[in-house]
Amino acid sequence: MAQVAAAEATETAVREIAIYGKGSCGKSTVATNIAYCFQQMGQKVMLVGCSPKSDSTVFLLGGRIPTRNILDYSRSTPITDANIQEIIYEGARGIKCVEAGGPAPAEGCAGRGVALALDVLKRLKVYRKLGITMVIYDVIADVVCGGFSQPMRGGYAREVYLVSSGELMAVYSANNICAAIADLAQSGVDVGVGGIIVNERGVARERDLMTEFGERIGVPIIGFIPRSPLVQQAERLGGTVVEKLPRSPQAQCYYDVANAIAARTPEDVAIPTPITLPEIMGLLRKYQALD
Amino acid sequence: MELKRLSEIYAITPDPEAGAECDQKYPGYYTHWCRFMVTLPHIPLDCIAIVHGPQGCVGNQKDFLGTYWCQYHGSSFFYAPTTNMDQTDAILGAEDKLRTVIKEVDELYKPRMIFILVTCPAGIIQEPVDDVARDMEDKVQAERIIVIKCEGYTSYAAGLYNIYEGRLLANELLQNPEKKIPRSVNILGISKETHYPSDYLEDSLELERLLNKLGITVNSVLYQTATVDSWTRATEAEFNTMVCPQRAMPLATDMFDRWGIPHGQRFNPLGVTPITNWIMEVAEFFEIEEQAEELVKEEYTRIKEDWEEARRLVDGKIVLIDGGDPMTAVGRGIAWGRMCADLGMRPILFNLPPIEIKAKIHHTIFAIQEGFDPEVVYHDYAYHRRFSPMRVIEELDLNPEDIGLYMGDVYPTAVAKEWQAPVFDPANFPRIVTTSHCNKNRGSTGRRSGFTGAGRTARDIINAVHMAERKSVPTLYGRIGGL
Repeated sequence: MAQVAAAEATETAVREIAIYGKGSCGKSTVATNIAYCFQQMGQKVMLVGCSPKSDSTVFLLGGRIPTRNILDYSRSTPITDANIQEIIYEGARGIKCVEAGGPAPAEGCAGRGVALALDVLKRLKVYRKLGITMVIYDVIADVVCGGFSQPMRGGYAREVYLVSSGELMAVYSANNICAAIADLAQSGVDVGVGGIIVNERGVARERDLMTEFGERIGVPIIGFIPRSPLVQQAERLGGTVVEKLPRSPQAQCYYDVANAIAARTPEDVAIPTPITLPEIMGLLRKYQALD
Repeated sequence: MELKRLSEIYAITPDPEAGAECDQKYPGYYTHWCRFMVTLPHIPLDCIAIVHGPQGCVGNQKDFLGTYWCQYHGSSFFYAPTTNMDQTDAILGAEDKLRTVIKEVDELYKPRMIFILVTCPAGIIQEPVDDVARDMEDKVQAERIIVIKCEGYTSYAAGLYNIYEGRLLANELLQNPEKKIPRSVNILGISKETHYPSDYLEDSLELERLLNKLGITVNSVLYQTATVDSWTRATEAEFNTMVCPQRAMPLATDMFDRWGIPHGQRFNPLGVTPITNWIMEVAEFFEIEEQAEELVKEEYTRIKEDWEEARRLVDGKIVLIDGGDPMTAVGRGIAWGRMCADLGMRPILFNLPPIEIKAKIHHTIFAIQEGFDPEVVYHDYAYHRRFSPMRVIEELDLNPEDIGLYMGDVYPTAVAKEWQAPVFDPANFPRIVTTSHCNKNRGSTGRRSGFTGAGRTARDIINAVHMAERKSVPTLYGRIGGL
């Protein structure tokens, strides 16, 4: 009994966060960089890529897309304790990387795949067995269907962090995700938004705009990451900014975000109050972001 | 529980497409009829249907048609190859599996055509089935690969299913006629006959026998025993006759609209008057009424003794007709009732869900149009909630002595504590087992069509009445074996 209790205690100590945001808003870049930061800060991190493209973890793995993922592997071989290691890669600084995988473009159902992949990790108690203390789910694009809401709906991540720039569609998408989270919370799911990570795109008065957006929806801004060519430079080197260019100001921004998340607890999440599209448009007009 | 006329129930029942209102009133209705389930048995016999989906879809189909629901001998061994989609396939897609199965099926069975039936999981993930079919058509020996999208979740009112499947096959397979075959007819709406060699007479063969005696040839029998040729030559017939109007009418209407082929109005020719009307309708079209009248006389003479003896035994009595599971089609219960009315009985139908009466619109309308508007036990009960005949007698306060015949299956609803006089056992109560699908009665047509069917039913009634005169205690054989 004592062993079971200890194991359960260890399991509950795992902190699981999910990164959501509009497609191509920089979610994976943020996720891989802060994963590296957390690992450097002493956490044992696992990054779970929830995308059929299997490209979330690529810059923790030297720029290579992992050849094995949960769904492809499970098609030919049932995944068990004995072979789960086959699909868990060790990335930079020992970060554990796993990709859910999914169908080829224009085929199958990626959303359902996310649900199945997460279920495999949970069922095999992978986090506990590997001593993971921080899990980051990098979820493809928006909450387009039930499958992509699985990381939060299925009781995996209580904390959702939104990545957004000040561009109209990025804000709109973040707001939509907030609406989904508010609905889930209302129906009893234990989930909320930890904060917004502003991945800047050079929009006019972007920080002011996003600060007010955060206030309007009741979600704090966790940090600002300026647009920088250093991201592409690090990727050309096959890694993240914090790994390849650790002394750069850009790397410090990621550390600031990681520290801000670390300073929060899962209880600090907010249930957002989404606004309407006309309100979003008004907000962007106010800051001349539509000009 | 009360008695209402068929027409009244039809009028007060919400349209099956009313969705929520309908589901609220008759919960369970929408769970029963699956578009895939109804489509599969209608694939031409010389073709193969590949079920792109889980094995369970075929398993349930087999259960429905073979073992649990309909219990008809035709599909006891119903199988269809599947791609056996599993959870991973539902995520990653099963296009490659489908290609493999198409190749295998083509090589193994050499079908005339290959049909791909799309089930729920394949439909939900929008499998590129049309693309695969197009691509594979050049790679197989089969003439065509035809995709039918019949996902269960797209299902709607059961009565409309049949319209769907009929129109779909008609669109794919009917062709412009190269010639007209004089004095030829099609028999539309024959279903649930065996795909396999059988010792029992099929209804279509009985009808064909009668038509042949009039010098009329049967060009095609559609749907369920049809081949591709049956479909392609169907437009060469001069006239369309009907058995099951629910299946026949959409096709008959299409063929009239597109090729001007007229069709009849008589349906399900069970009993002497209905088969006479059915024959005379054809005869009128071909202007051979006198010849037909002679045929009717000759055929009636053959069964007259039994028919009139049966009438003598049951005339003026009530017949309770269980329209439940064995007769989900509505039309069969109505046709049995009409035959019993022909014998002078007062038919009371029960376990006939109001929603099915509404959904199977052609059955209901054609019966009323013919002037047959029987009493039906009406109750707002859940779909397929069945009542035992004992309860019907009690709640309607019927006198058991007035009931001359019971048509149905007792064992699905028999409750031990209800086994009190009159017990529905052939040893003490006249009973015809109406699970006609499994009514493997030598010398009879499966559904009792034609004069042969009427004669055999009359003999069954005579036997049932005489056996019941024994008034002995129920026997195990009687309970489970029927007559």
